[in-house]
Amino acid sequence: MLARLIRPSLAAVRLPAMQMATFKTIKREPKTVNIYERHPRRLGTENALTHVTDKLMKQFDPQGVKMELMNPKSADRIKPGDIVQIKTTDGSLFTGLTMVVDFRGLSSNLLLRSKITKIGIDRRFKIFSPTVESVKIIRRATQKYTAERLYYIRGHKRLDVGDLEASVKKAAAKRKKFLFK
Amino acid sequence: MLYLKSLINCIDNSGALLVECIKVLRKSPKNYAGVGDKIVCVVKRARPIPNGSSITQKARKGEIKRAVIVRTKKEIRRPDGSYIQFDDNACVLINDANEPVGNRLNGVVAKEVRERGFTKVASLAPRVL
Repeated sequence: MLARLIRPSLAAVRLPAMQMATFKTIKREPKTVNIYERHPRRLGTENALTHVTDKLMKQFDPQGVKMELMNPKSADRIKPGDIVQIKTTDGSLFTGLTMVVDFRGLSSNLLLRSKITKIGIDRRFKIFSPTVESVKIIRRATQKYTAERLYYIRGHKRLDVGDLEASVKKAAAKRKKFLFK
Repeated sequence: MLYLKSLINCIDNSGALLVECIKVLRKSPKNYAGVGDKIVCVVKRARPIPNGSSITQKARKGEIKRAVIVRTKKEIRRPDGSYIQFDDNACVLINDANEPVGNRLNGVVAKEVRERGFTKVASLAPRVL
């Protein structure tokens, strides 16, 4: 019913052809079409997700250095209790005791704890992130821990960390002195 | 995650030691304050003023002040996916022009403080993380 009512009114409004030609037409740039890679399943791989993660892993960690540090099967892996230094692309360094090693593919992360100006700081780094420039093990764990995840060292009288940055610097200076004696 | 009645350490030399949040500024009522947010607070504990001394302290017990949060126990997520969390909640008293009331800070400050426009607070800190 409604459509029938509107139709005649529209016809009445319609402008003559002469007038319509005066409008300026906007020039549009030619449309670009993105050409994507073929779907992994069609390439013959089993799983789309593994295909993508493998590709990204090669991009972010071409030499496999980070993988060796994180993989639980490798001998040189980072273990809870190790002191690790991480350098990020903005030029800052963070030294901390490893509380948790979380191996979960591309989003593998380390939870580090340190104290700066007597305030405890916990930082979680995604190791395969391109913002993480380098990961260095400075000192292996000096004692045996009973747990895999050392959340309990926070605020512990004996086990909690001190200012690791300062102690690492001190140790380096001591070593230097010993070498040049 | 700081809101009404939260007790926060004050880390500048204004004289205030412990403050209580009474209002989170410019946030919806159900929200909470994080690093870089402004609050209104009451000074609950202040450094004692010795008798007969001429030193005038900038913050006294019972005064209402504004402050900016610089550290939180709740972890902060960074754009690159990393997290940072501190062992305590801390703030710095500021004036209306977002400048610190004191002239010295003891303790680290999160990077977000500078990003939110409190450059003077960040420049006073011994370390920005």
